[in-house]
This record gives sequence, structure tokens and C-alpha cells, in this order.
Amino acid sequence: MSTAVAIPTQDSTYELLDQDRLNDFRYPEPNSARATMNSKINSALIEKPFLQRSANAYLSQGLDLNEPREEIKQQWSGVVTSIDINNLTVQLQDLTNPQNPNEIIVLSRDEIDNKDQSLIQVGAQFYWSIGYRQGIKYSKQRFSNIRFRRLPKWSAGEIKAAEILTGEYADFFLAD
Amino acid sequence: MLCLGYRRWFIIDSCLCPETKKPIALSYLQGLGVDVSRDVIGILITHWHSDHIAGAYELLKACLKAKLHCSSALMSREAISIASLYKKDIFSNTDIEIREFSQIIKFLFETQDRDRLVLVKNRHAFFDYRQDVSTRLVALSPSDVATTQAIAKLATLKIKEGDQRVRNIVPENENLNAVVLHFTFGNLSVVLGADLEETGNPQTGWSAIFNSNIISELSLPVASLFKVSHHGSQTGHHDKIWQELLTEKPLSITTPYSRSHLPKTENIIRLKALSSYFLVTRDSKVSKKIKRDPMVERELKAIVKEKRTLNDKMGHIQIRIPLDGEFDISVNEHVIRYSGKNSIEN
Repeated sequence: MSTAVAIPTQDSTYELLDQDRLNDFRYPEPNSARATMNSKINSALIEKPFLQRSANAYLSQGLDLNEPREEIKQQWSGVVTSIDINNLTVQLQDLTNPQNPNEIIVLSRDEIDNKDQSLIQVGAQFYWSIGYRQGIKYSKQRFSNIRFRRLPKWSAGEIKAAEILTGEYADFFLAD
Repeated sequence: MLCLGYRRWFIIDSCLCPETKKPIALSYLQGLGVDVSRDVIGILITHWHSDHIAGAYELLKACLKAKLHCSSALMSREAISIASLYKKDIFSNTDIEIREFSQIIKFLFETQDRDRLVLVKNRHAFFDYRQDVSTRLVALSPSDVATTQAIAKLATLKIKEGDQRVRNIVPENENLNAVVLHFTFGNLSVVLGADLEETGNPQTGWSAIFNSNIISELSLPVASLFKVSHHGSQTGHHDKIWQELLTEKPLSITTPYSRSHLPKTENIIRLKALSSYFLVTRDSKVSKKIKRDPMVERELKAIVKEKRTLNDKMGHIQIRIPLDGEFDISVNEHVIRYSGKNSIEN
């Protein structure tokens, strides 16, 4: 058994569309050559101008069911209060139930992502979430994600502005 | 807070209520019906740590007649240059003590009110009233050496272009620059120990007070009430505090520092033995069970090595000094009372 495939010939209609490729979904100018041609080919194309590519891309990203979904059960913000070779002591503030009192816990450094190890220092801040992760191609699993905040370096502009301000303050307060 | 009679109040340090995030001193005084804009004569920041300065800017704005007292190291060019870097930005929940100080100097600068600022070092007299009841408040610290060391330390923290932002810039040894106070009201005296610690250096910490001859120079009477320094820690202890500054078995009070679990059991045993009564504004060891999703509890159990809940209740101790009697003490339900004889009486 064979399958017949109809291949259209290269006629003037397709040449016109190719020239206008960047504006595939633009509503054609009235009485333009393209509008006339399109009306003969497929009137639906010019009657639905809102079908834009960006919208299609957005929808496809948001509805990708192949990616695992995260169901967060608990979130904290934390600050490192002390460290030693193996452990870090942190103070946690409950973001899921803000009325809960703060907690002090001791964690092993191994619990921190390798990318964040260099950020472990007293006073460092982080966010911690615990929950489930699952999807069509993924089995349900618990996750615990600790991410340290990254602060930008001081810029030349900030230093210069502070120096000017320091001078003004020091003169005013007669600081040595 | 000290109430000096004649509707005069003096606020020592500031911290925020965990629930309202407002300065506790302000809420308390306003609750009593005190006109803070008129009746607060002074605010002292004993040292530059967040549990002593948080909310001081709001206090300063509300207490229009109050002078702001702080260690001279805090108003050095080195300290100002650090504070000048910090302004309102997306990291505003970091470096609370620096941002608070930054707001204070900005406010004083914008209001052009330099006279509200008073720099303090040892021997400084905050007031010395000789009306009906002799009322005097003097500073026993910081020493000149402690102030110089604090400024030198701040100078090493000068920030340059390209430096990484760090979160806790104020050094822990800022405690050596803390202002210890001696308060006299009639026949009774009080020592307020702030967070001053002892390092063994004769020119800083508690040793500097006893080596400076300040007690006899200022004719300081022994005190029968002691606000124990540095949350009752061992580093806040000096034998001579109990021998030269205090009566035998004074009434001692302190505030806990939950992060460091202060006062520790051994501290409590020591302070109980030295005092007639030892009061702590709340029990830092209370561990409240928090209800969570069982899955979260299982995960925490697998990850966490140690866990405890902080007791964030605000204790309150009120001590009245009648002209001819002993202390009249009232406390709220969060205060823990240890007696020199028994264990916890609560």
C-alpha cells in the first residue's frame, strides 16, 4: 500500500507569503496584495490576529507536564550564628507559620550545596524549603533545599558616595 | 529604664518587641501614659550590638527632649564611614545595628541637632540632682584604652571597592567598649553591668574599672542591686565586682541571650550563690513544641543534629525604691526567680 502526498507547485501565492514571513500573524493592510491573496487561500488566517508566537511559547513553557512539580510544605529564612569545622548553627524564622517562635538548630556542613559552601560564614543568610517533588516522569520524592543569599560586591560608586557622606557627617559631628 | 522622679525618665538601650517590632521602651512608657516627647531626658546606647541598639532611631524621634548618649568610639570617623555605606536597600534585613546607627546619624544631621549627642567614657556624669533625693548616674566604662582599641578595630573594617559584603560587620569584642553605669538614688545604689566582659587586660574590661581608682575618686557607694553583665556569662564575671562594687548578697538580675544559651547552668549556680535572689527576665531554655506537617518533621529529624525553640516572651521586672525601705519588686509571669538557698522558685 502506498501513501499519496500532495505537493503544491511553487506559485505566486507562496512567494508573496515568503516575502512577508516576519509578519506571519500580522493583520494585513486592507486592500493590500497579501490581504487579497489571503482571502482566497484561507480567510481564517486573517480573522484571528491574536494568535501570536510569543503567547504560544509562553503557554508551552508553563504547561510542560514533563517537568517535576514542587509542593512546598515548609519554608524558613535563616541566619548562620556560629560555625566550626563540621557544623553550622543557624537561627530559623518560620515563613510558613510566622507566628511560630524562632528556632536554633545545628546542621552538618554536608547538608549545604557545594556551590554555597564558600558562603558559609557567621551572619550569612539563606532560605530553606522542604516539600515533595513529583511529575509524570518522576516518582514522588522528598526534597530539602537550602540556598544561601548572594550579595553583590561594593561598587566604586557606593564607596565614593559613602566617602562624601562620611566627610559631611564627620565635619558636622566634629568626629576625629 | 530609670524613673528619676519629677516625671523624668532615662532609657538604657533599646530592643524590639518580637511581636510588634516596636521599641519596647516606647510601648511601655506610652502604655503608662508618659509623654515621651517631654519626659524622657536621655537615651543611652551602651554599645553597638543589635540587641542594644535596635529601635533607638524611633526612640530618638519620639523623645524630642532626650539627649542621645553613646561611647565616643561610636561617633569616630571610622564608625561613621561604615554607617555611611548603608542605606535602605533590598538587603535591609541585614546588619541591623549598622543600619540603625546610620539612621540615627542621618536624623541628627538632617535636623542639624548636634547638641543632642553626648559622648561617654568612664567618669562621665549623666546627671547629678541634689533636690529632695540625691540622684546620680555615672559611667564606669569604657576606659580610654578600650575606646582606642574599638576605634582601631573599626579602622581595620574599612570597606574598599570590590570587597564582598559581609553580614555581621560589628565585631564581637565591641562588648569591651560597653558603658557600665553606677546609679544612686538616695541611700540605695545600683550597678548596671551592660555587656562588659573581662579579658585579663588590666586596661580594658572590668579590670580597667578596678585599676582606675574610679570607685574612690567618685565616692561610689556599694550597690545592693546588680544588673549582671553580659547575660550572666563567665566572661562577664570579675571577683572584684562582688567585693568592691556590691554589698554582700545583692539582688541580681539579668536578661538571657538565647542564641548563646546564656545564662548557662553553671552561671546560674554561681550567681545564685553570690546573690540573695537572682532574677532572669525569661527562661531561655524553654523549648516549645511546634506542630508541623509530619513529613517536615521526618525530614528535619534526618537532617538536624540539634534543635531548640527560642523563648521570645518578654519578661518584665519592676523595682521601686521607697525612701526608707527595701526594694519593692514586681515581675511578670515570664520572669524566673532563683534564690540563694533554693533552686527555681519561679
